[in-house]
Amino acid sequence: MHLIHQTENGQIVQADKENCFYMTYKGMEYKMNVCSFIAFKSKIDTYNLELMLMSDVTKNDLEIIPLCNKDRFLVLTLEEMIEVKHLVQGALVMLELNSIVHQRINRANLV
Amino acid sequence: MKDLLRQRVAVQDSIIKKLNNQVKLEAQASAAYLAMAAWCDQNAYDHSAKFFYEQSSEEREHMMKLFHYISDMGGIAVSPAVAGSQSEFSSLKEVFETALENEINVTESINQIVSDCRKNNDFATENFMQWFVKEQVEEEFVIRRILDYFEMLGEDPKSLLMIDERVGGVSYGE
Repeated sequence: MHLIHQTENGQIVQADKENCFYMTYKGMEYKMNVCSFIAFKSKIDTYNLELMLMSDVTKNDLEIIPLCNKDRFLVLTLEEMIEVKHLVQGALVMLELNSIVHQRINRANLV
Repeated sequence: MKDLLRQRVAVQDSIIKKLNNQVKLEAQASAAYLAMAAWCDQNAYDHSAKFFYEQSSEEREHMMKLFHYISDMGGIAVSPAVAGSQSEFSSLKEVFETALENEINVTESINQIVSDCRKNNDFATENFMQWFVKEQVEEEFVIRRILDYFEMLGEDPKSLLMIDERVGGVSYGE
């Protein structure tokens, strides 16, 4: 298990043996394969937090976000949305960094 | 630590986002051409209507080509929401001028993707996008040439009829 990224209430780890990620947020654990993780990140990206913050409509205080294939749902307040967005985006940056490291090692081995 | 991301996805997230934007742009272009075809049909410009129906199908094919590529590379292809298209025009010339503006926007967007691919060393996507670069040269040429006819012949009814008849015959020869 490798810790990818963490915030105050959550963390994302990579399980190499299972080829998947585990996201833990406020005590709940969500297992995601790579495809589900990317789909979840794409879903999270579509929420315009700035717009939600500026809006007076009360329904914007709570969001229901389905995980891949609607197996489970995340019900998040606006504050939690900000944190989960940060958690997922941060994890993706770290994963991309890992890809760059792998790429550099591969290239060095080719020389 | 395994590189799970690279094992599953062959294209970077930032490029996938741009390709999805391009999917949307192609879908919008397809819808816009359909509206132009309808206007031409209503005003009895039969050849122009046929031209725009074909253009609309072509743009959809472009969209699907991008859509499949995103999926094949392991990305999430997003089915786009298309905004309303302009359906009222003051003249046939305006229709073609709007079409050229659309094509120029699409070209700019494609060029931007190619530029980003180069910056990110994404040679596969750059190679894939080259087909679109070539296609845009043709698309812009054809509409520009049709607009030349308006300059040459004017816009009186007889000229418009002549232009309409010539629309289907314009092609780009390299």
